[in-house]
Amino acid sequence: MASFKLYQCWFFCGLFLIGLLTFFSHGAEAEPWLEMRKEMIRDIEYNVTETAHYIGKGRLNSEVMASMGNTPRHEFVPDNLRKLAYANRPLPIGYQQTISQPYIVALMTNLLESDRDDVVLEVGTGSGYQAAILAPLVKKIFTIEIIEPLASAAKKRLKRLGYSNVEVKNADGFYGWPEQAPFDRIIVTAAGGQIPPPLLKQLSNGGRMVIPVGSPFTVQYLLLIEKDHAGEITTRHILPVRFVPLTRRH
Amino acid sequence: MAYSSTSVPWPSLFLIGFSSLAYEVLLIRVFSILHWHHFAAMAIGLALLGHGASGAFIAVFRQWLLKRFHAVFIFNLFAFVLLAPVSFYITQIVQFNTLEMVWDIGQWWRLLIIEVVLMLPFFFAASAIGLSICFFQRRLSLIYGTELLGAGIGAITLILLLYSLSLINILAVIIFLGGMAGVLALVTGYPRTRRSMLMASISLMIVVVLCLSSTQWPKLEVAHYKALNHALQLPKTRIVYERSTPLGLITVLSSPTVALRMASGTSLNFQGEIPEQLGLFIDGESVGGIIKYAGDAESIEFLDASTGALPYQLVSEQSDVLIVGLGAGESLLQASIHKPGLVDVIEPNAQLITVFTDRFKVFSGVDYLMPYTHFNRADIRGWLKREARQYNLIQLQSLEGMNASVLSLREQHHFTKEALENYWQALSQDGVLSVTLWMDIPPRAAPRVVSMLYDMLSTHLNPALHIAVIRSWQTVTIVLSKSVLSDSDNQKIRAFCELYRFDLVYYPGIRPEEVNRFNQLQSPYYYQIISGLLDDDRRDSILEHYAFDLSPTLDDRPFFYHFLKVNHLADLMTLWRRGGEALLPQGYLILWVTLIQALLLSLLLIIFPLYWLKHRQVCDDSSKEFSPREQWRSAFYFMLIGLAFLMVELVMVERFTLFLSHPAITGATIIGSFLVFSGLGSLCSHRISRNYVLGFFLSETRFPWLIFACCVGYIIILPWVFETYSDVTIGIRVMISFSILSPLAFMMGMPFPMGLRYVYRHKGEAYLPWVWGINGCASVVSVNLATLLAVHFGFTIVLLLGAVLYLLSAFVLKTGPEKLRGQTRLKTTPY
Repeated sequence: MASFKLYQCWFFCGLFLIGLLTFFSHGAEAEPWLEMRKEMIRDIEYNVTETAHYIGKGRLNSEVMASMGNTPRHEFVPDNLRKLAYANRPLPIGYQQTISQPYIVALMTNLLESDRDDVVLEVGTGSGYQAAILAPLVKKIFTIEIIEPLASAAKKRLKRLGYSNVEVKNADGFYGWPEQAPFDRIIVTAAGGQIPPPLLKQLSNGGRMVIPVGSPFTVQYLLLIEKDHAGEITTRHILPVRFVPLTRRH
Repeated sequence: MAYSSTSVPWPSLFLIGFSSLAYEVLLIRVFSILHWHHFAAMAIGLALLGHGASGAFIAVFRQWLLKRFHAVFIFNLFAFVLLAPVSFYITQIVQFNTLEMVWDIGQWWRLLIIEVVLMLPFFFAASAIGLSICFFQRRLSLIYGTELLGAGIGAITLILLLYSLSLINILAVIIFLGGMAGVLALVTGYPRTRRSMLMASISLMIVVVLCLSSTQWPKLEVAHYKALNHALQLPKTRIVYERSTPLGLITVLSSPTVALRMASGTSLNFQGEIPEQLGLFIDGESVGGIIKYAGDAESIEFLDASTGALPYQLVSEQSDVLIVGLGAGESLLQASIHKPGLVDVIEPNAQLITVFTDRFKVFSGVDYLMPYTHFNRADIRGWLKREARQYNLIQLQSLEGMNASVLSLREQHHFTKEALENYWQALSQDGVLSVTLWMDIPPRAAPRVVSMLYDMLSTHLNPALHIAVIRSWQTVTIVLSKSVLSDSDNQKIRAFCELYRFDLVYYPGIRPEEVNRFNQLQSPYYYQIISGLLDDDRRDSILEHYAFDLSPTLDDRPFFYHFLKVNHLADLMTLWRRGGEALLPQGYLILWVTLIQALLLSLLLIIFPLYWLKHRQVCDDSSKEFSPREQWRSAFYFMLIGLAFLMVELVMVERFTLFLSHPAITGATIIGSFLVFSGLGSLCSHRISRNYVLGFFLSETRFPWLIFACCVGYIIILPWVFETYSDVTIGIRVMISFSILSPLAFMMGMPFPMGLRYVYRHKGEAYLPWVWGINGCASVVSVNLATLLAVHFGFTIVLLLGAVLYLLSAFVLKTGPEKLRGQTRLKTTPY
C-alpha cells in the first residue's frame, strides 16, 4: 500500500514537472515572437518617419499599430519562413503570391481610416494577414482570393485563430462581392494596371479605397480613392512603393 | 610539334571567330529578354574581357602553351563548345535580380559571378586565336583578319537566324559551328593518322548529339519580376504564341479563367465592360492587350475614356491618322471609333504586324479596320521622309514599360527634338500631334516633351498657344496643335476632362484653380512645371534648378528617359531607402558599376602579366627585352587603338540606325561591315606595306591621320547622305552604308596587326599576348565609357574622341626611338 502511495506521489510529481516544463517551453517559444514583433513595430515606425513627406504624417494610428503588434504574423507565413516572419519585407506564401511587407500593410490599413462599424471588402486574401490586421478594427470583413488553395487555407487559418468577423470567398476579385455591397472601405492588396469599375460601384458614398497601381514587382503607387457623399470620385497618390521581387531562394 | 609554321588552321580560326561573335550577339538578346536592354553593353564587355584575360594568360604561360600548341588549340576550341551552353544555363541558376541591386549587396556578387562565368567561353575562343597569333607570328595579320572576317559574317548570320530560329536553336547552331572548328583542327592539324581521325569522328558525333538534344534543353526563364512572369501566375494562363525576332521575343498570353484587362489610365467614371484581351509581351515586358473586336464600336468604348482620346476632340471625322508603333493595337482601335479617313500604322517589327493581322486576325477583328488601315513595316523617321504625307493627327504612345529608371540608357529616336520636327512638318494646317506617357512623380517625361516642343517652336511662334496637357490617375497626354488652340478647342478640352474626371495640366489661359482636382497630387506639380516651362521668364530657372534634367533630347543624345543631373545625384542617393529608389536611373548606375569592374579587372589583367614578365627573361635574346619606357609606349598604343575602335564602331551603329530605319538591319550592316572590312584591312595590311605608294600613306604613323580625317568627314557628310538617300529602297541604303563605311573600317583593321608586327619584329613573340590582352581590356572599358560619354556629351563627341585617340596612337609611335621608327615600314615587308 505504502509503495502504491509512493508510486502515486511519483506520478503526480512527474505530472507537475511535465506541466512546468510545458509552461516554460511555451513561454520560451512565445518570447522570441514577441520580441521580433516589437522589433517589426520599430521598423515600421522608422519607415513611417522616413516616408513622412509622402504620407503627410510622422506616425500611424495607435489602434492600427496595436493590431500590428498583436497579430501573430508567423502564423501567416509558411513554416520554413517563420524565422523571417517579422522581417520588414514581403515573403512568398506559395502559388507565386506574397504576404506584403509589414510597413505596407500598416500604411494601407491606416489609409483606410476605418471605424468600428465599417464593412470592409478585401481583394486578394493571400494568407489572410491583412484581414487579421483589420479584424479588430472593423465590424465585418469580406475577403476574396482568386487562387483556391490559398482561399481555403486562409479560411481555415483565420477560423483556427479565432477571427470570427472575416468571411473568405474564392472568386475573381475584379467583380467584387455584389451580394454584400456596398462597402465602407475597400482594400486591394494585389497590384494591377487598372482600377476595377465594379469595385468603384460597390464602394459606398463617403467610402475609401486603397489600391496599389502600376507594374507589379517594379514601381507602384499607392492610390487612395475617395467617394464623396454625392458619389463623386477623387484619387490621391500617396507614395511610390517598390515590392521586393520574389526569387526562388526563399 | 605537329603543326608546321605553314599549316595554319584557317577554317578553324574562321569558325571560332564566327561562333564567338555569334554567341556575343546571342547573349545581347538573351540579356534583353532575361533582364533589360542596358545589359547589352555588359555582354559585349564580357566578350572583350575574355580577349583581355586570354592575353594575360598566354603572356604568363606562353612557353608551356606553345610547346603544346596543337593540343591546347584544340582544347580551347572544345572548351568554348562545352562552356557556351553550360555558362548560358549557370547564369540562370544564379538568381540575379537587377532591381534588388539597389538594396541587396548580394546581387553585386551574383552579377560578378555571371560576368566571370560568361567570360569563360570567350576566354577560350580568344585563347585559341591569341595562341595562333603567337605560334604563327609571321602570319599574324592573316590570322587576325580571318578571325575578324569570321566574326563579321557571324554577326550578319546571327541576326538573320534570329528571324527564323528560337534562341535555344541558335545556341545549338553556334555550338555546332564551334564544334566543327575543333573537328577541322583535329583533321587538318596532325598527319591523318587513324587516331586523329577517330578523335575527330568521336568529337563530331558528340557535337551532333549535343546539338540534336537542343530540343530537350531547359527553356529560357524570364526573370521573376518581369511582367510576363507575373501574368503567368494567373490560373490556367498559357502562352498561345511565341516568336523570336531580332527586335524582341514576342509572346502572346491567353488567360481563360481570369480575364486580362489592360486599360491604362482609364477614367474612373467609366463603368462599362472591358472586352476580352490577349496579353502581348515583348522580351517579357507588357506591351498591352490585344483586344477582341468584332466591329462593334461600343465594345471598345473604354478606349475613349482615356487621356489618349483627347486629340479626337480637336480633329474632325474622316481625318487622316498616323499611329507611331502598333503596340497591341489599342491606338488603332481608338482611331476606328472616330471614323477616320485613313490610318497609317508604322511599326518596325514585321512580326508584330503579323501577330495582329494574320495569327490573331479573327480575334483582333482586323478585317473591320482594313478598309482604311495601312500597316507599314518601317521606322517612323524614315517613313515620314520618304512618304512626305500630311496627317490631321499623329499619335505617339510610350506606355511599353512603367519603369523609366531601367529605360534610362535606351535610345529613343522617335522622342528627340529632330523627330518632333519631323512630326510637326507632317501635320496638316489643322493637324494635331498627341503624345501619351505614363504619369511619373516627380514629373519628368511629360515636362521633357513640353520642353522639346518649346525648343522646337519658340523661334518662330509662341508654343504656349499651341499646347495642351491633361492627365488621369495614371497617364499624361500632351497635344500640340499646328494652329493656335482656339477658345472652342479649349472648351472641348475642358469638357472632355470634366466628363471623364481627368485633370487639366495646361492649356492657353488655364487658371490655377482648375488644376489638381480629381486625381490629386500633394501639390499641382505638373501644372507648376509645365506652365513654367512654357513661360519665357521662368523656363531657364526651372531647367536650371529642377532636380531632374528636362533639357531636350537630341539625335546626338537620344536618351529620353535619362533625367539624371549629376550634381543632384547625392540628393537622390539620400532617398535610397526612403521610397526614392525608383528615381535612381538604374541603367546608368549599372553602366558605372560595369565600367569600374572592367577597369579593375583590366588593370589586374594588364599589370599582373607585366609584373610576371618583368621578373623573367622572356626572350632568348636579352637585347629584345622591353625597356620600361618601351613597355609603357606599347601598352599605351594598344590601349589607344582598343579604346578608339569600339568608340567609332558604336557611334556608327547609332548614326546609321536613323538611316537604315531598322535596328536589326543596322546591327547586321554596320557591325558586319566593320568586322568584315576590318578583317580585310588586317589581311591586306602586310601587302600594303610592300607597295611603296600605299605603304607610304598607310604607314603606322600616317594612316591614323586618314582615320581621323575620315571620322571628321563623316560628321560633316553623313547628315547630307542620310537626307539625300532617305527615300531610296532599303537594299540601296544598305549598299550605301557598306560603301561609306568600307574605307574607314578597312583602315581601322590595320593598326592592330601593324602594332603586333611592330612588337614581334623588335621584341619577338614574347610580348604579343600581353599587348593582345591590353587591347582586349581597353575595348572592355571602351564599350562602357563610350556609352557614358554619349549620355553626357553626345555621340559626336564620342566619335571625335575615337578619332583623336587614333591620332594619339600615331603620336605614340612617332615618339619612339628613332632607329625603330626608321625601320617600321621597311621591316614589315617580309610578312
